[in-house]
Amino acid sequence: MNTKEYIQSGVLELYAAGALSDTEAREVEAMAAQYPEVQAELAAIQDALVSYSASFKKNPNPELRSTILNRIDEIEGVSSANILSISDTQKKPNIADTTGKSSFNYTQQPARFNYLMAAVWIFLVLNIIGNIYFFNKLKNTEEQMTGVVNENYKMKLEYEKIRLDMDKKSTDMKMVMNRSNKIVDLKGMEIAPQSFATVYWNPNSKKVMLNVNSLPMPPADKQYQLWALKDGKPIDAGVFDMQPGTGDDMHMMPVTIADADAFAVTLEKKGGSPAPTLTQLYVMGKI
Amino acid sequence: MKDRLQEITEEQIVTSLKQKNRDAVGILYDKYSSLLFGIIARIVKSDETAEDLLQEVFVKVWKNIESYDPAKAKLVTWMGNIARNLAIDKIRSKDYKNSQQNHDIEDYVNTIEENPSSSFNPDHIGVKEMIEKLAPEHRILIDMVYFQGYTQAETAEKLGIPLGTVKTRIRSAINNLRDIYT
Repeated sequence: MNTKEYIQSGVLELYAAGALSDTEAREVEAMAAQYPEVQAELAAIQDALVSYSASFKKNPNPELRSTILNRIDEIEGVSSANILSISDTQKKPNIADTTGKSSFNYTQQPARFNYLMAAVWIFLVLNIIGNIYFFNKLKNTEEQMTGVVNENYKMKLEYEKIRLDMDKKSTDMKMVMNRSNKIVDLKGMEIAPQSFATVYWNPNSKKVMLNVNSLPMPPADKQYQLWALKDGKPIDAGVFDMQPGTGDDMHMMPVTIADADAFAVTLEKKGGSPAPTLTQLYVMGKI
Repeated sequence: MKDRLQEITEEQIVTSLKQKNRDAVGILYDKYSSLLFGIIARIVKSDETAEDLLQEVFVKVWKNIESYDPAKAKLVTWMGNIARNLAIDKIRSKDYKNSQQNHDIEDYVNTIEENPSSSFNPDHIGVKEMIEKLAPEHRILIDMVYFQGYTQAETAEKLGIPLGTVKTRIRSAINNLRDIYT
């Protein structure tokens, strides 16, 4: 049998997804046992299905953890009880033998049982004390665990946030570093001479990115709007918000600009205006 | 603490399980309970039943760890298979069929669109996007077969497509999954 053909037939996928009859499934198992490459392929398929299943992760009732651990203890408890009863049955014939031979042992037995009973009682009492002690310890540990789990969860959230942030930053970087970019310095106008912004415009991809180096915080009902200018005609290049206290501030503008010979930023009503308010011109720069 | 949990390798867990170390079950639970519970709950569609079955999964893992062969599958895959098999056996059992109304394919399609989990979990960020990377006709097939326990023939009949098409589509669906997850 050609294992390559067998792998490509799709039967392994059907097996892993559980869509084969029992007889067919046994054939696949036999093939996997015989050919390591079939086994490896099957393992990869099963891993993919389990990874896909991870998309449906769901947390069970938190109490289930201790229920399951108790079940395991119970199982172990039962099996150690079995061991005890086996050794009991092994002892019994001996007792019967000795009692059968001599009546002396008979009279000894009650005393032996008393000691035994006392030992059992002591054992039980110690056991109960021990149980209480360990139960309290367990409760403390569980509380600590919950704390740690919460902490872990928070860190995961934090990590995910940072990762998303990194992703955005690296996309920004790629955009900025593009060699076909035109870099346009927008200088402060009379209304705010200290202002400064930089536009990265890529004539090939037509994407526009704005870096706000310095602009005064706008009033709550206003927003800055970027304009591309072509032959003196303004083209809307989108509004943007300022993030207070973050210093340099990158904005990927949600527009494409095919052609421009200058860029400018004006302060407009929230949401932007169809045409720039020229008295509110903050920064401007020619390409 | 977090680092220490992550440092425990699968191999160490398996060794402790074989030594009948109960703590290993706790570690397994912390690592995989949400994954396994997700699989089971998706199959049996009842959290209560799914919790009972999740218990059975861990009991089975505890009892059958000797039969686990690391050369054949990852531990999580082995456990995932146990979970799926138990859940599929459950929905195929007579008393379960009687207690549940029949769900139709339309239901599965709808449940795919729903949020996969009722409780928020940071792992879920982007999950919907991940699921959506799979073409809808692939998603339906994997759901019917893997999560609903339909056989190849039943799937073909239900969807009105040839038997061979089920086979090739499941293969390309899983190939897509392998591309997405590797």
